[in-house]
Order: sequence, then structure tokens, then C-alpha cells
Amino acid sequence: MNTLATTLVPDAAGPLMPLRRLLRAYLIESRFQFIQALRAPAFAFPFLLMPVPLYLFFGVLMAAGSKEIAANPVLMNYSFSGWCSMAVMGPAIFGIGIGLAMDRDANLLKLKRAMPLPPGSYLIAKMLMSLAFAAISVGLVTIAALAAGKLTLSPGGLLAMDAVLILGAIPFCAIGLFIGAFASASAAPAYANLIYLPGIWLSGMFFPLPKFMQPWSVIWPAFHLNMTALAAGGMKVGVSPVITSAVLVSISVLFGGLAIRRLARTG
Amino acid sequence: MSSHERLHALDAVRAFALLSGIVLHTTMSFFLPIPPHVSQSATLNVLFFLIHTWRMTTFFIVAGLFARLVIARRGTRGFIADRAQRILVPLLVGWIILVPLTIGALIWGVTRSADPTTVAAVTQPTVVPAGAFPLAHLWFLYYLCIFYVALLAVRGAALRIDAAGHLSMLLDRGTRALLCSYAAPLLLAAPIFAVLGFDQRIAVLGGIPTPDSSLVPQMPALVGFGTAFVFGWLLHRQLDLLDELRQRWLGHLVAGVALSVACQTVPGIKLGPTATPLYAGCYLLSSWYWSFGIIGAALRFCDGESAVRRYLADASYWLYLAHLPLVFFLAAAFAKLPWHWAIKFPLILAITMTVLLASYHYLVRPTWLGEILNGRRYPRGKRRASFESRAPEPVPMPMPLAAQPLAELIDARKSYGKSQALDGVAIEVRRGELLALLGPNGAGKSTAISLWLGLLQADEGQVRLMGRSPLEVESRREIGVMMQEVALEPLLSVRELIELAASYYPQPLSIEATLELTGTRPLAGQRYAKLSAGQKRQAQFAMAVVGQPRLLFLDEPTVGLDVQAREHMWRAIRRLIKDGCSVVLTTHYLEEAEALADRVVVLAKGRVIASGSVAEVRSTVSRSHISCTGALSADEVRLWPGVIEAIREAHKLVITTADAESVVRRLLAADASVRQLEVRQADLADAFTELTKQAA
Repeated sequence: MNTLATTLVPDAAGPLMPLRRLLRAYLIESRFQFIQALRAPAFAFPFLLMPVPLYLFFGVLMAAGSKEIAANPVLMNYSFSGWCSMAVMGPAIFGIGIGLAMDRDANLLKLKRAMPLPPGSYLIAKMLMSLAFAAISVGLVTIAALAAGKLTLSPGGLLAMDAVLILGAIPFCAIGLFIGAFASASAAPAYANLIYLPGIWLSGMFFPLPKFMQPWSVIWPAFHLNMTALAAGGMKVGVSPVITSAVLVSISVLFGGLAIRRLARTG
Repeated sequence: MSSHERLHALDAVRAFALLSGIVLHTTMSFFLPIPPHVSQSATLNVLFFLIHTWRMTTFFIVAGLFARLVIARRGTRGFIADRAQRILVPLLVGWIILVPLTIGALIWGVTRSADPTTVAAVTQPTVVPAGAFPLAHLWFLYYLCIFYVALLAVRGAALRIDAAGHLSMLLDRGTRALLCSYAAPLLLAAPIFAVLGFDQRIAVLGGIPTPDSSLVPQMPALVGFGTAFVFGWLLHRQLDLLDELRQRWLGHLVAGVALSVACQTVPGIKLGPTATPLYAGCYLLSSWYWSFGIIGAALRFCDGESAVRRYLADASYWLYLAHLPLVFFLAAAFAKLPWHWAIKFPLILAITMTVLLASYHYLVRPTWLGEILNGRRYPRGKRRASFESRAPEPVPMPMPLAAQPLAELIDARKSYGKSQALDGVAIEVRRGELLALLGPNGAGKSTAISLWLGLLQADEGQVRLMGRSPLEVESRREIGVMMQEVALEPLLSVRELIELAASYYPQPLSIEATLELTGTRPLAGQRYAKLSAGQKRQAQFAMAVVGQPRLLFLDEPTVGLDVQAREHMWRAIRRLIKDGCSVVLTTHYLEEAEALADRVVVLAKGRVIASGSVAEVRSTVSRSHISCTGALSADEVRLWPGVIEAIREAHKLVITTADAESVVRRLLAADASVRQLEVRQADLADAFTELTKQAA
């Protein structure tokens, strides 16, 4: 009887994925994404470990003799935020941008789309990987800054600033996705650099820009991340944090959305 | 009146409200100093007043109604996804693109004016509201989002508290009683009157202050438009109530016009230096009467389906989103021309609409922009396959599980540009069989498989996987895939790759069992990048079978394998089939198909040219090969009746014939020295060669 019943009832809904297995699928995808990033030394080393010595050298040692900073130690918080912003941007733009472009070229994305991946898990995994990298490198720079005793932020302010910086990886993930979704594997590094390098220098994070360039710093997403982070830390900034965070959210939605459209339609 | 007709009419109302917004914003520069036109117009001021009276109230009534429609059709999750796509995304993206343009156009227009006090007034606003943020005309999307969230919360709570439905029944009865009289606006305007009745702000532009410059929700807008939204929601609970509005359209409109006239002309009501509650009351009431009148008139006159209205309804959302920078820019550009407003105003409107309609037609309607805004796109020229459209598929007739094919192409067509990859192909994959898909390069095999995997969508015809769309992830949970030319994650080991693939499936094989079945145990610890080409294929095969699929797609699985590995893979495939798995196999090795396949489909030039069991396909070519040693020359034998071809191959005579028996008889009679005689039936390779030759 049983057999008959199962034969006659069509399984219209398809096999159900238990919620635990579904969550596990997201988790495993993210875990392997992270493992892969760690196993690629050319990626892990510069983005995880380099921000600390860079910050210590440029942000602490070089600044040690400055009279301006001696008179106004708050300025150190600004350079801290700048170096952290840089640390956050790298894994997001390069890790996702180049990684995704390579996966597309290798038809891996096509295979993943044919397999029953839970919706979005591949992209979420890439994003979590970048966020984890951002958290680690921001954490390391924070420890270095605290050890060097260069921050005048309140503990709450520092936590808020770090949180904003880490979450601030998201718009750059979106930009990475955008690059990875449209560029070929060979062109992706060039595009990534085109956003990354001018972004960190021309947004005025590390040194005051010449006057005529200052109004243009707003076109770089890095500027908005830096300003939002500084405002979260309680620093004075010239722009409303509501607007800078709105810009960051909009960038995430715009680039992320365009990338997802593109990926949904092609490979 | 059917609910379909009613919804068509409401679509028209929404479009009318949005398009009126464009007219409204165009009138503004003719009586406000932003930028100061040479040509001021009191008439356009009145037009502004009239449109402003009803526009947003009407819009939010329809929005509330459609919100409940979407939630009823697609469930809470579907509703959230739909609103996120069509309201939230346009809000965020629109803000980053349109608002800077709008403000830029506005400032440009103002700075062109010679009057420095105006410049100062506009560039340095005196009052900065809390949470100042330039939402500009996108504020309505922001408030929609607020209403949606509030509504989902209230609905969730109501479903728990009022599980029996007593409260909602009471509410429905109240709505009905109210609408069956002319008095409904009195009650509906009451909440907003309580907020604004004694508020002088109603004097500035009239009506509810537009909440376009702050993220902090503004009380008048929340109450005024919230009432309209909730009312629309309640209307959808009893759609037949719309008929009441339809019958009373004229009465409502007359009441609305009368109240508007009173606001503008009757002394004592007409707005003086301070707002009077009488004015506020008349104005707010007139909003509702106008809205009811306009909705009723639409139900009365625009109920049928009309291509033009449909097009405008689809276009209106984009037109409204994009119009403001253009309108402000044109207003500034025309500001100093000394023409009469009756020339300038229609001209600006005409240019705006032309540009916007063109941009809609070419940039939005056929692209993903249109899909985001309107939930679908209209491709130019091409008819689309049924699975591409958003419309829900008709549920297939329930069939006994055993008879239902696992995968089907039904008259599938697919072209890339001008080349037709699939030209009306029908293939089905049955339970427990191995179907070999054969064909020369470019025959359409990969296209067929890509359709089944949901990687491509058919231009026409249907594609089914497990009786459903291959685009649904549930369908793909029952399949395993091995594709050509794929590079897997190079830095992961084979074991990790299998674990990753296993995580996608509800009930996968254990990793150990998979390694065993596919003979990949020796490779388990090696990183993918270090494997040879054949070993990579084995790893991919393991990933394809780990999910215990009911259907396995193997695209050229044995390319690059050595003989031993190939034998192992064949054994594994046979075992899977024995356990009830079906397989779709493409291969260039015809002996592989001959060894494994239950059924063969031969494709050429995008069409099925033969299908059936291996024996059936082989027999479509009725020929045999005879070989022997002997003294006869090939040229002589070639002339015999029934001989198709005869050649000498290394001391052997090889004859191809359609009539083996007669040829052998004649051969033995003609030459006594014949030895090593062999007769072989045509194999699949012969059939394949012959069939594809014919097709070419």
C-alpha cells in the first residue's frame, strides 16, 4: 500500500532542505572561501599583515617629529582611521574582484550555478571572507596603535570606529563584485588598482590635499568610509555622517545590485 | 465588474497620479522664485493647487491596495522581496543618482537669477529640520517603506491576536458601511485634521507639508498618507466596494471641486494671513473627495484593457522617478525667455515627456531597469520562453511519479544571434535510464544541457527539470553535474571539494562512500591544482555524485582518463543506474555510448535526427562490413549489385554492403581462395556517421 501511495503522489515541492543543513551550507561555503584566501600567500600576506608595519612606519614613526601633531594629538586618530580604511578596502576590492573574475573565467561560477547552491551563498561567502579579513587587519592595526599609545579616542569611540570600519568593507565588497562581474580575469587587477590606489591617496586620508583637489575627494568611496568612521569615533568632520553613510549604503546597493543582475544573467 | 477590470483601472489611477506629478513640478517655476520665470502665471498656480490637493492621497490609497494584493499573491517573503526590488532599490539608487542632479539643476537655475536675496534664500535654507536629508521627490518611496514595515508588523500581530477573524470582520463591516455613504471622507480626513487643522504650515503650499528634507518621519505625512494607505489596504479586503466608488464618482468629484473653489474664493474660508481651521478642514476634505472621485471615474471609464494605458502605466514609474532634474533644468534654461507661459509651459512639458518616454522605451522597458521597476521586461521583437516570465507557471497535471520524465525539453528553441543552436527540440529523460546525447560539434548538445541546468533560457518552448523550472533551486537539488572545461577551486583538496559539494544537498552520500564509489580515495588529500587532467575529471565526477542525485548530467566525462580510470568510471555509472539514478551523457566516444546507453538521441544542426535504443539507431543504417583475404580486386567487387563500397586494406578486402548474404554467397562462388571471412553488423559509429552526413 505504501509503495502505491508514494508512486501516485507527485513530489511537487521537491526535496526539502532542513534549515540546519541549509545554514550549514552557507557556513561551509564561507569557511572554504576563507581557507582558500589563507592558502594564497600572495593575497593573505599583503592584506592581513602589511597594514600594521605601514601604519607603524608612516602613521607613528614618521609623525613622531611633527610639531603640528605634538600640538594637536587628536590628529593621530585621523591617520589611524585612514590606515584602517585602507586595510579594509584591499581584501574587499582585490579579494572579491579578482577572485570572482577568475572563477568566472574558469567556468566555476557556471558549475556553481548549475549545482543547487543556496541562493546567494557564493557571494555571501566571498563577502564574509572580506569582512573577516577586514576584522583581522583592523584588529591588528588597533592593537598596534594602542601599543604605541597614539590614540586619544574613548574606548566606546574606538569600538564604534572599528565597527564602522569593518562593516565599511561592504561597499567595497560591492565594488569588488562589480569589477569581478564585468571584467575578465586578466583585466580585473587593473580595474581594482584603478579604484584602490587613487581612492586611498586622493580621498585625503593620509595627508591634506592641495586646496584645488579638496572638493574632489568626495568622489572616492574611501573618503566616505573614512569620514563615517571618524564621526563614529566622535571626531569632528566636515560632512554629515548621515550623508556619508547614505553614500556608502547607496554604493553597496548600486554596485552590488548591478553585479548581481549581471551574474544572474550570464556566467 | 471583474476584479481584473478593477485592477486595470487602478493601474491607470496610479499612472495618472504619477504623471500629474510631472505636470505639478513643471508648474512650480511659473509662480515660485525657483528659478524666477519672467512669465509668471496665476492660472498655473491654480492648476498646481488642484493637482496637489488629491495627488498623493490618491497615490497612497492605490499603493495600500496594491500592497495587500502583492502580499496576498506572493506571501510575506515574496512581498518583502518584491518591495525591496521595486521600492527600496529605486529609493537608494535613485537617491545617489537623481538627487544630486536635481539639486544641481535647482542651484544652477537659482544662481542664474539676478536677485541675490532669492539666491541666499534657496542656497541657505533658514530652517534645518531634525535629521536633515535631501530626499527630494523620492520621499514617497521612503514613506512607502515605512508603511510597509509598519504594516507587516501590525499584520503579524493581528494574525496572532485576531486568529478567529472577529476584529477584521468588524473592520470590514465598518469600511463597507462608511463607503456606502458620501460621508466617508469626513471620517478619513479626521486624523489629518487633528494634526494639521490648526497648523499654519498648511498655508505655505497648501495641504500636507511635503516631507522631502528629513529622514525623521514627519507627523503630518505619516498620519495623512498613512490613513490613505491603510484605507487602500482595507479596500482590497473587499474589492467589490470599489463599485461604490464607481457609482458615486460624479458626486465625489462635484463635492471635491466645490470644496476647492471654496478654499480659493469664499471669504472667511479663503486663506488669510493665518491658517484657519475652516480652510484646513475644507482643504483636507476636498483631498478625499477628489481622490474618491478620480478613482471612481477611472473605474467607470478606464476599466478595460488598453495597450496605450498599459504602456503609460508601466512607463509612469520611471517617468516620475527621472523627471525632476530634467524639469528643473528646463525651467532654469527657459527662465529668462520673455515668452508667454501658455507657450513655455506646454513646451517644457513636451520636451520633458519626449525625452523621458524615449529613455523609457529604449533604456528601461527592454532592460533590467524595467525588470526592477515594473517586475518584468518587454524584449524587443523576441517572444520569450514560458519560464522566463515572472507569471506563475500553470501547475502541471499530477502524473504518476514513475511516468513523469525527470527532464524534458518541449519544442525548445534557442538562438545565439543569427545562429540557431536548438531548432524545436523535444527530448525527455526517463526514470532509471542512461540517455546518450550524441552529435557532431555545434549540434546543440551543450545548449540542451545548459537549458536543463538553468544556465540558459529557451527563446521558445518549455524546459522542465523534475517537472519544474530548472531555475528553481529545489529542482537542482535532485541533480548532479559534471561540466566540460571547468576549473575547480585550485587550493582545496579533493576531500574538501567533495565536502563542499555535499553541503548543497539534503541527503548526500558520506565523503568516504563517495571516495570509494568514484575511486578517488588516493587523491583525497591532494590539492586540486596539483592533479593531472584525468584526475581532475575524477574529482569532478565525485562532486557530481555525492548528492545522491536522481539525475546526473555528465558532459564528456571520460576525456583525458586512462583506460583503468575510465573502466572505473563506467562501473560507477552502471552502479548508479542500477540504484535508480538516471544519466544524461554526452560523449565523443561512440563506444562509450554503445557500452552504457539505454537510449540514444542524435542531434545535428539543432534538431533531433534520430532517437531510440542503441539497436534501433544502429538499424536505421542497414549495412554490414565484410572482410576477407583472397584474390579478388576491390575494383571488381565494387561493381557487384548490393555493394556500397569495396577497398583493399593491408591484404584484406573490406566490403560495405546493404545485403551481406548475397554478397557473401557470390564472394565464395567467385573466389575459392577466400579465407578469414568476417561479417560485422553496422555499429553505432557507422550509424552516427551516416546520419550526420545525411543531416549535413
